[in-house]
Amino acid sequence: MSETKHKSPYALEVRGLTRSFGKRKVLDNVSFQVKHGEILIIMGGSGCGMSTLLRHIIGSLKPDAGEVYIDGTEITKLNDLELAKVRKRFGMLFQTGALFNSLTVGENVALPILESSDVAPHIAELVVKLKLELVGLTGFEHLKPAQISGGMKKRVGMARALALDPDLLFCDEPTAGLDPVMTAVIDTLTVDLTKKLGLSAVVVTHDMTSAFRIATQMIFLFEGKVIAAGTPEEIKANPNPILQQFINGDADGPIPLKLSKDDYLKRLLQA
Amino acid sequence: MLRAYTELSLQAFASIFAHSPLFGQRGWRLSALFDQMVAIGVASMPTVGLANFLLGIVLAIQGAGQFEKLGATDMVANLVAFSVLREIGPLITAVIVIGRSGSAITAELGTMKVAEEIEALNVMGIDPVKYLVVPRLLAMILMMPVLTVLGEGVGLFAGWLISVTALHLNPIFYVSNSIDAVEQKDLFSGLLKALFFGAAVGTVACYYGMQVEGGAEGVGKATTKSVVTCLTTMLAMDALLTTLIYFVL
Amino acid sequence: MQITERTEENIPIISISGDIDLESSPKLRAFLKPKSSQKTPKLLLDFGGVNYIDSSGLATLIEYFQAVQSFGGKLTLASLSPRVKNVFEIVRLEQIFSLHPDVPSALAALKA
Ligand SMILES: Nc1ncnc2c1ncn2[C@@H]1O[C@H](COP(=O)(O)OP(=O)(O)OP(=O)(O)O)[C@@H](O)[C@H]1O
Ligand SMILES: [Mg+2]
Repeated sequence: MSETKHKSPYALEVRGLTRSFGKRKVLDNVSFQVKHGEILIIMGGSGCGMSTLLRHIIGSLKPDAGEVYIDGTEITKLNDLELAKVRKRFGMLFQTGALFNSLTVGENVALPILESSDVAPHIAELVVKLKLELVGLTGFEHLKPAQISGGMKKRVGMARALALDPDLLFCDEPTAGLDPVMTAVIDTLTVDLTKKLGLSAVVVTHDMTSAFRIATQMIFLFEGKVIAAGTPEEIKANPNPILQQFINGDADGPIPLKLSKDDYLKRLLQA
Repeated sequence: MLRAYTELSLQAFASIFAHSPLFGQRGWRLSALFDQMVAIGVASMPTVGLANFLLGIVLAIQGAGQFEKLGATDMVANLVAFSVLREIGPLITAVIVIGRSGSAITAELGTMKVAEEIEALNVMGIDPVKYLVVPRLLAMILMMPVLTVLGEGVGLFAGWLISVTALHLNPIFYVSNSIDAVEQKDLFSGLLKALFFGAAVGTVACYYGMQVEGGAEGVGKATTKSVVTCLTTMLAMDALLTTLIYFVL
Repeated sequence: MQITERTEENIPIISISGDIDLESSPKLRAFLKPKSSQKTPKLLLDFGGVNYIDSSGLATLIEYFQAVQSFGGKLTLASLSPRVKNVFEIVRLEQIFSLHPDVPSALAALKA
């Protein structure tokens, strides 16, 4: 949509999001905003709740507390029908790709187009070609997901997420499993989409090179809380030792491993 | 659980009616429906035929054993015709369809659920009930009576075949006996049962598939539960319908 | 989306205004279909009033372009807003479509 149609200065606003699974608080009072046209990078240790956070933002999971505003519309309390309407403006790339295994690559990308409109199949076919070219997969329309590699599945997932020209793009580890060149292609694409078309993007990634290359804003999740937020420069300059250990990829530091070494040896030798 | 099942079923039937061609909607997904009719119906035909054939033989021989004592072996024709149309045909057909297609539906939907495919549909604004459940349920409801009629035909033929060969009954006399023994009502009560079985198996199998949690193990567990529930539901429904038909018609 | 047509120096000029999206692109397609079946030799699309085009809109134009190529016709697009132009550029379509800043230059290109 054209920029003039925005209702709120923020494409996405998350306020006080809290969610527990059993006794474990996976998300603890998470708040942040994404302005239109920005790329927000979510970082954090594996298993610290980043995918869970995305699931709450797209309305697949309901929080215990807190709100999610998509361009000013609060979505955690919407019914299925209202939610479906808001979701038409989303594109989502799942961590696992979540492709439909019974459909070909081309059919996967065409599905959202054919299901949500009356466009002719030939038009949908052309759109599929445009989207596959964006992710460097021209000519792979006729393969089934089982016949392509993990990194290719990710890229098909990206093409499918872009099929309906979303205003808001969510990517869960878009470059995991991609070689450096393809990573650069996807990074450039994400930046182009935001810069040239005014999309807003929320990207979860563990890839620090890629993160600092594309981010306009970053947040760092640790034990369910946002412990650092800011522009890439601010994050780099943030003295928080946990954050620095993560950015620099050091094995030693304040981030606790699951069990300390002593504890591990003690448990190992227990009868 | 029962509530979730009822909700899904109501949603599915509402979707079937809301998108039926009668209301000039964009319609059911006809190609998906057709695919499912082939998967559920056409592919089941050999097994359904074989099961009914074997039971037709068993019925005729078992009946002959009893009727011989009364000196009324001719009555085998009546027994086979009556029980195949009213009971054995719909029942054994449903058992086969549950084992073949009911389990397949649960496993397929369950696999899609754990692979996040259903969540992906939701996020794209595509209603999984309309997209996945409706074609399967509708195919089940349409194909169960078709398969039942086919199975009944084969069962009747098997009874006739064994009677004229092994039991040396008169082939023509057997047929006229069969026709005398049954009424239209017998045929319809069998088909009515098949229709209900189709609806029950379709909704139960889809429900168990859509609620799978926890990976491949969850899919396996759900499939087992689905088959058991389909069988017991179908038998309970059979008892209920048989009683109703007996007292009402 | 609104479509109007006028002729200038025997060349049909189609002015489009509004959004070309999933809802309206079938209308544009229906409008272009007879142009390609009549083998219209030269056609100018005036995008002056277009503030948004999505991929289905692009696909509609590509489809027409394919048809035009089969009979050696010419197609030019004029007055694309920067954002609309970006949509073309992201998928490198500026390399196949002839894009012009205004109607007179697009007309000139058609006559050349
Ligand atoms: N449905 C669920 N039920 C119970 N626990 C869950 C559920 N979903 C997620 N969790 C737990 O929440 C935590 C966060 O999971 P999540 O998938 O969000 O991790 P993540 O940050 O995306 O990790 P990764 O980077 O490895 O993908 C995990 O410890 C997981 O066990
Ligand atoms: Mg994750």
